[in-house]
Amino acid sequence: MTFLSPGFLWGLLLIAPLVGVYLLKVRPRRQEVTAIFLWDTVLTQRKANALLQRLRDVLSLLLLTLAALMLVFAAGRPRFDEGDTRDVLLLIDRSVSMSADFRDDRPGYSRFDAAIDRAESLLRSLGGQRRAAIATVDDRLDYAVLLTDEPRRLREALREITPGQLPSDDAALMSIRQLAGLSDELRIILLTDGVGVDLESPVDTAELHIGEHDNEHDGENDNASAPIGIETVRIDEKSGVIPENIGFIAADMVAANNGQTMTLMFSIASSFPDTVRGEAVLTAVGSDPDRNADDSDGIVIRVIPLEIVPGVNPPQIYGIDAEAGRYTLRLETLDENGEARPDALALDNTAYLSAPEPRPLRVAVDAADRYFFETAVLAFARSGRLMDLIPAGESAELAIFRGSVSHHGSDSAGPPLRVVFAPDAPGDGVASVGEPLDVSLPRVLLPDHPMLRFIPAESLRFDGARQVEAEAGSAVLVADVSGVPLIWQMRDPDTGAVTLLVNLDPVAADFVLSPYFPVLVYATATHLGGRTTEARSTFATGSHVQVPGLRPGERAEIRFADQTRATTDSTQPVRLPQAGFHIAQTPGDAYDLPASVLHPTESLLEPVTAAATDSEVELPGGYPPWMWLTAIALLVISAEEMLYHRRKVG
Amino acid sequence: MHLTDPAFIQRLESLALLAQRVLGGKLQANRRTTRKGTGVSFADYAEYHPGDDHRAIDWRVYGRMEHLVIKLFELEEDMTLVILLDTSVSMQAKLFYAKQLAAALGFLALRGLDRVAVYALSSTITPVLETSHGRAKVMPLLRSLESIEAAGKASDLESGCRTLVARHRRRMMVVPISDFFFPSGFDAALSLLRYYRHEVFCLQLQNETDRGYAPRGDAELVCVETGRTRRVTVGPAEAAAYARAVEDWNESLSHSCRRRGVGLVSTTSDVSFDEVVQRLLRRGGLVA
Repeated sequence: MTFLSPGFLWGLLLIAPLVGVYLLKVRPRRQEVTAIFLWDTVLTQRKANALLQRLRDVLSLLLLTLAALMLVFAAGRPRFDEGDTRDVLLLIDRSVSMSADFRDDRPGYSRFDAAIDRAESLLRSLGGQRRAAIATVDDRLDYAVLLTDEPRRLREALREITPGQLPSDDAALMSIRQLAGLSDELRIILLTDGVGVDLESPVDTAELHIGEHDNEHDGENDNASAPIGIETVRIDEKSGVIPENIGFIAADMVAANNGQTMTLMFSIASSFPDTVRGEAVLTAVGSDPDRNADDSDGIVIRVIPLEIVPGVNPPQIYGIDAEAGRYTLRLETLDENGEARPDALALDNTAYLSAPEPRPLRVAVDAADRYFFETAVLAFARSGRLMDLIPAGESAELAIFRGSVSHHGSDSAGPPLRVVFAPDAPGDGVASVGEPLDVSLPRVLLPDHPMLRFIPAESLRFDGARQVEAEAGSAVLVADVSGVPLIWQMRDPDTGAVTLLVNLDPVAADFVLSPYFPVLVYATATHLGGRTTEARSTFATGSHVQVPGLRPGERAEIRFADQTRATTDSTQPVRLPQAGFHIAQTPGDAYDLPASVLHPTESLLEPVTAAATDSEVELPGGYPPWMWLTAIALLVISAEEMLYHRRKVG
Repeated sequence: MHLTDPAFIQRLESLALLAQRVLGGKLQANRRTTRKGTGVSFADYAEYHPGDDHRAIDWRVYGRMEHLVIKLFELEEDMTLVILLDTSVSMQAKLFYAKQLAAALGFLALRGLDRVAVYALSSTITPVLETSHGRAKVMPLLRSLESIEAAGKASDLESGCRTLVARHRRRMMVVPISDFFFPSGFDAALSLLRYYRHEVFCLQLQNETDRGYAPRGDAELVCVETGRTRRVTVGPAEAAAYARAVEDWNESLSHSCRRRGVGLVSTTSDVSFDEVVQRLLRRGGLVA
């Protein structure tokens, strides 16, 4: 046994004065009487209690001394588990599957609740003797509290953790693995249901039973080559038995027939062992932002009967006679009587869908050989109305030029977004123009730029390119080996106009016949128009979404489904943390960013980590020795107080 | 308040008037005795024997019955009232009350032309007022009583009474005023007094503290007279047992008095002393 605070043991010296104080305390008060001989008579009759009375004082003193000893020892923080002084990092899985019911007979008590209870027990057992930290794991690692030995802070941090609606993610698991390798002085305990948590591959996980850990790492049996492990504790009721659950794993709703009807697509996963009946209810909900997840007073559009087979079901597609707007798609499982029956996880039973009105980008072409440019734009105008070709001279959001803006612009300012192929004059991103350039080896300088997502720029032939010099402040995406810019972007700080310049002549090089020409037009248009993010009807929770329609330099306010707010710009995607209708308000328009729990692994509730189940793990639960000592000391003091009370009041 | 205060003396005077009314104005040496003698009240006839006072022969009876008889008269003599005032430390709280009672009794006796003596009783008796007679001795009586302080060891009634009977050969009325918590008991003393044919009237004076023990818990009991200590833990059972013991003690006193023809009045200090004296007078004085 060792003591964490041995300095308190000096308190043993206080025992002697305490005994003195006790003797003073129990000294009986002097009471003058006139007939003590009568008391002699009384006490002679009650002589049987005399021995107990004498022993009572001794017993009382012994009890108090014992209590004082225990309190001093408790203050010294005794520890019986010698050897393990490591800090503890408590990882709590808060992914979607942790919201599943923990036990069938206890509705509302989830795996997450069980994990929190287990964590509390574990923290109690630490009793402030060791430092501990708490972090949550879903698609990333978040620290609730850093290393501390204050039980109160740990408890408060634990209480503030809420179950999440995000899936487990490899990135978070990688972070855990990195943590495990950081230090031998850190003991990592992961409380998880094992769904989506694969800690065994590719790094071996030493499964250490909590409580037996020290023995495994001490002594001769310690395997020095064993990797530092993460002690995983499975939080589920029955090992090997997967709870019955069904849930959406994909959903989409798009406008068809030029916005007249909708096409609904969804896919379902089931962990039921047999085929079950169910139905999907599509409900139109209003656009009230304060009630963006409430479909109680919505209009039921369609009820779709389903036969759900075990595992991942094939996608189902339905034509819906409905307009653009918000919808919820609710999944219900039915028993043999046609009554709704609950499943283990409710979060994945609802998909939030938003079918937006088409908002095509208005594009004008101002070039001598406009046919190919217009053909490229029209190709995307017919397909999903991503772009609309408007006549030259009308107000356009984006204009495509060949040559330079200054030569062909319809007004002095020009449209705010411009694409210039084969610039041939200084101005609007071009400092100087020289002789024709023979580009032999293009170099991609910004490979992650959204404009280059679908373009193999290294293999393009930049025929018709010229020796140009980009204006200062330009962002060069592609350049040749000599540094001549081939694709670059310039933003006018005065007008805010953004110009993308492509140093090739698509007509001269027959590039207009290449399949990459319309792709290049599309990529530049969507990038400059802030449409790189497709307006999808729903996103999986945890998705990072670029706000649509947000141009460089603009900011958008995000109103999440839980009514919290945040702001972002065109460079920072928004993480959708929970299911519901999130709204992005841009300077120009408002966009729905619906999110749904669409995670096959989480819905199937099939554990990946074959860690020890909770019932098999010997957790060092309970209270630390100092707490027991204190409790016993208080009991002893109470007992002595009863004796003292008897002596005080008879 | 002092015993010599006019107000107190006035209260004593009131008691005297009450005594006159109650006792029919026969306060003057009216203590009747069973001895027959030369008084003025006819008591009985007795056969004449030579040597008897021939003046006592009732010639009318001789004329009718030709038999010589003499008339016997009750001997009317002045009584000596001896007040034994317990001045032990146990009487500390009750001493003034006891002195008031003693003053009242002494006052009435002096007004009735009886003789009065007062002794302080502790382990032995100490004269406070030697045998006195006449109304002029009222003030010395009150002053003497006032000068008494509680002191001394445990009271010993028997020892005091032995000293008393040795001093006073004449018959007397002895009035012990005490709480009667005599460790050595009171039986022997009462028997002794009665043996010498003294009248005895006990005035038992106690207070609530004497009759019950209120404090609870551990205590070191200290005898106020002997200083002897005893550690006790007083709970409800012990307190009740003590109250029973006091009750038994008082009952034994009452029993002992009845058996010996000794008068007894028990009172507590919360009863006005006037009331106690009135109770005594209405019972016919201190005559048993």
